[in-house]
Amino acid sequence: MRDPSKIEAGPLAPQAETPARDVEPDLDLAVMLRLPGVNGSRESPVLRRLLCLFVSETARNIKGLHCGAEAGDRPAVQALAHKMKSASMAIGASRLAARARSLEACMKGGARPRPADVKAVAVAWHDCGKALVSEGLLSVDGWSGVEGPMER
Amino acid sequence: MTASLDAHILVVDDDPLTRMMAVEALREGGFTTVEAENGAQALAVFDVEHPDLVLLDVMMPGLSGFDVCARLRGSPAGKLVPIIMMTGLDDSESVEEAFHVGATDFISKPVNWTLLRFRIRYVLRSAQVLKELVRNQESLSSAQRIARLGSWEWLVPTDTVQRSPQYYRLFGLPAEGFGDGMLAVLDHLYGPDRALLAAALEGARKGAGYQLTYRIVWPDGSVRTLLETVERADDLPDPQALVMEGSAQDITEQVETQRRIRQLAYFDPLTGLPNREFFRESLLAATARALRSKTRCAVMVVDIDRFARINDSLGPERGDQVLQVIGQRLRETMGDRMPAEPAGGGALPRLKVARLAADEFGILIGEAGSVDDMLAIAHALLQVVRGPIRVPGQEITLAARVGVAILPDHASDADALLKAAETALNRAKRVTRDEVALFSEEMKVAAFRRFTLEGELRRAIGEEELQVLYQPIVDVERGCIVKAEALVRWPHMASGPVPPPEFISLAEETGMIVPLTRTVIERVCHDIATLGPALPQDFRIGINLSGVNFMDPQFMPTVCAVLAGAAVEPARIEFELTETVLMRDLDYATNILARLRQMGIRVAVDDFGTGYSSLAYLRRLAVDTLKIDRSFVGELNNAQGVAIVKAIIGLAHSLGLEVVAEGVETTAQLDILRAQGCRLIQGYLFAKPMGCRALVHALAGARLMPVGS
Repeated sequence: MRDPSKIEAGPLAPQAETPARDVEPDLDLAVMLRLPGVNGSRESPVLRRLLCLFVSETARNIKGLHCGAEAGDRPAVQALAHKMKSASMAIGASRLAARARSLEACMKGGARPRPADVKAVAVAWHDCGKALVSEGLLSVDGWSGVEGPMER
Repeated sequence: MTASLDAHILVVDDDPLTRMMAVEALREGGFTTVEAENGAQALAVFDVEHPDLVLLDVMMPGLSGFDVCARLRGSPAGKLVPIIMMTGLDDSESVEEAFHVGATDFISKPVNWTLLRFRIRYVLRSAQVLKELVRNQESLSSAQRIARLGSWEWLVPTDTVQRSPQYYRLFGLPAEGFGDGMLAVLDHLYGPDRALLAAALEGARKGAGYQLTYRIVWPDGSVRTLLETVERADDLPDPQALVMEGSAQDITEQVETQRRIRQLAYFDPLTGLPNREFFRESLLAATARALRSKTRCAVMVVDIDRFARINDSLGPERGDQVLQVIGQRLRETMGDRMPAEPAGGGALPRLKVARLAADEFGILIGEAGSVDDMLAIAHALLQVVRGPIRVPGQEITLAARVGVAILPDHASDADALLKAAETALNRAKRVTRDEVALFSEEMKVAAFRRFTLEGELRRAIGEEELQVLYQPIVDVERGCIVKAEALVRWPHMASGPVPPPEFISLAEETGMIVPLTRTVIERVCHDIATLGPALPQDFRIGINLSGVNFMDPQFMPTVCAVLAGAAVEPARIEFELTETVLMRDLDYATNILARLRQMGIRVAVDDFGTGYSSLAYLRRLAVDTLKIDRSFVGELNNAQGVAIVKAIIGLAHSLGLEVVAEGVETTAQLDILRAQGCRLIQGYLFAKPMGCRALVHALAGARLMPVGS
């Protein structure tokens, strides 16, 4: 009998507003469910704790990116992008990871950070959040608690 | 993979999410964890927790993962701990840098947690092996240090040498001060041993092993001895890959101990000359050589005449100095010199002069010439001994005798040769008084007779074959016998009487004088007890004691036991001792004589005038009688002889001592002695030694007159 909490590995439905080059999924559930201690269960307390930490950390990092971009602080932006890239990739937020990697590469290339550069990362984060909510892995309240500042 | 089961892992990452995932993954793998969110914290936690492994992120604010890794490797605790660095997937630069700073392994992000768990277990196992290897190396190094053992490996084709730290320590040098290449060792070698090692290394270059003892010189100039064993490290026939390995051990102390043992075993500590054992072994070798090559070999035994006098009169310290001087002179005369020793000590050197006994030196001449040549050498040695010797305060002149024997003329083996030389010497000392005595067949016969006599005497003492005779001592004023001297005789049932000087000197040499004297005392006591009232009041019997008797610790107990056993009054006994015996240990003599006097036993000084005739000792010792030696009595036909006897009698009278003249044979002698106030006379003029019964008759007889008057 199939356990409804377990989902086969594979990308979720691509986002409508995703540009054509965005081949990465917002959320790779297969990666997420293979995380240590999760054992393929959506209900896993470890997964809940991981997601909770992921959301709060990423929201704070996005804020940091905005501040860094406004201040033109390239090393800060690069470091944050690197950190987000690793964490996102590890948890299965593939597109967010890809955007963070692009930003990091851009910063490595010596470009001065601009608010527009951060925007793509923020959009990917927004989509990731929505995917988490729609998958029932995050409550709407939990999401709006971190989304607010980004809207501003 | 037991090594990984309880492993404690430090997870270092600034990203809490990665840390949480890592901790969870490791917990699932059975590990315990501790976390740090930056480099500084990681170093602090490491010091407290001592983790078995560190999982370390590269990119962190503040100290990077590379910095942390480098610092851990620089600390003693972090030197060997496995460190796995988490690098970017496409970040080959980080991978390179991680290797450079000493990371054990790396894993790319995103981390495959399953793979990580396996990798950790592999890494922990390797770390365990490495740790054991290091521990083994350390214990090997300690073992080498304790055993003062160093090792090296020589790749011959490139002359590359890998030397252990302990090897350098054997040379007292730091590694950098030693020099490169195998031959660098020769620079530190003790000169005379350099060629030896160079030759051995030349052989080793071709694959030949060796074991060699050589000496090295430390930077402070001290010389130490190493024992080196070298073998081929491989069995490959390829000379291009020849590897030799060697181990060297410092055996300086062992060599020194052996040298000291040898010195103690083979050399006389006083003179530094070889001792009797050395001489015997050298003699064995020399006689074997001579017999093989049909040549001659000679032994001379040099004896210092009356050496005991030096010790007695000047003290043993001066005596020792004199022996050292004589030893040195003999060594120089014979051209003996200690050869330089090879490393590790060598065989016994060939030396000619040895100290065989207290005042006896042995000379070994390996390739002896003619008998005349040997006698000439013996006379030369005598001259050397005779040269004046200065000791603080005075100059001493000694005389000596030399016994000479030659192989094959006088003996056919080493022991017999030495014995022959000693026999010649003893004969000269006892009988002929020659200064140089060459062994002869006659001596051999005499020596054999003496040897036979020894067994006979032992038997004679046991079987009571010895007789005790009494020679009366007459008081010429009263005309009666007042004393008698007990004299031992050996009639010898089988081969006729043995002259007393012969068997008494034999008894003294062999220690048989102790039972012999006891036998005499027992017999005298028995006779006194038997005669009982037949003996006049105050009649005493004199018994001769040798030095051996006097120094025997059992002497006093024996005397007490024998007297008590026979119920004889001690006042009946007078012991006769020579001056020389009394002078040998004046304190001892004082003590014994005082005890004898306390018991009531009197003491006479025998042969007075032939020894030291020291007035000081006469005053100090409890003696009662002086006996004028027969040699002085025999000289009474001239004025000088008369003067001497007169002096002795005067001395005795003034000290309140009795005086007895021995060996009186003529009335002329008697008249002079009487005229000088000597009234106690012993000699053939009145009576020969006689048996107990005859003595009783004599005692009971009429007034005693000189024989023939």
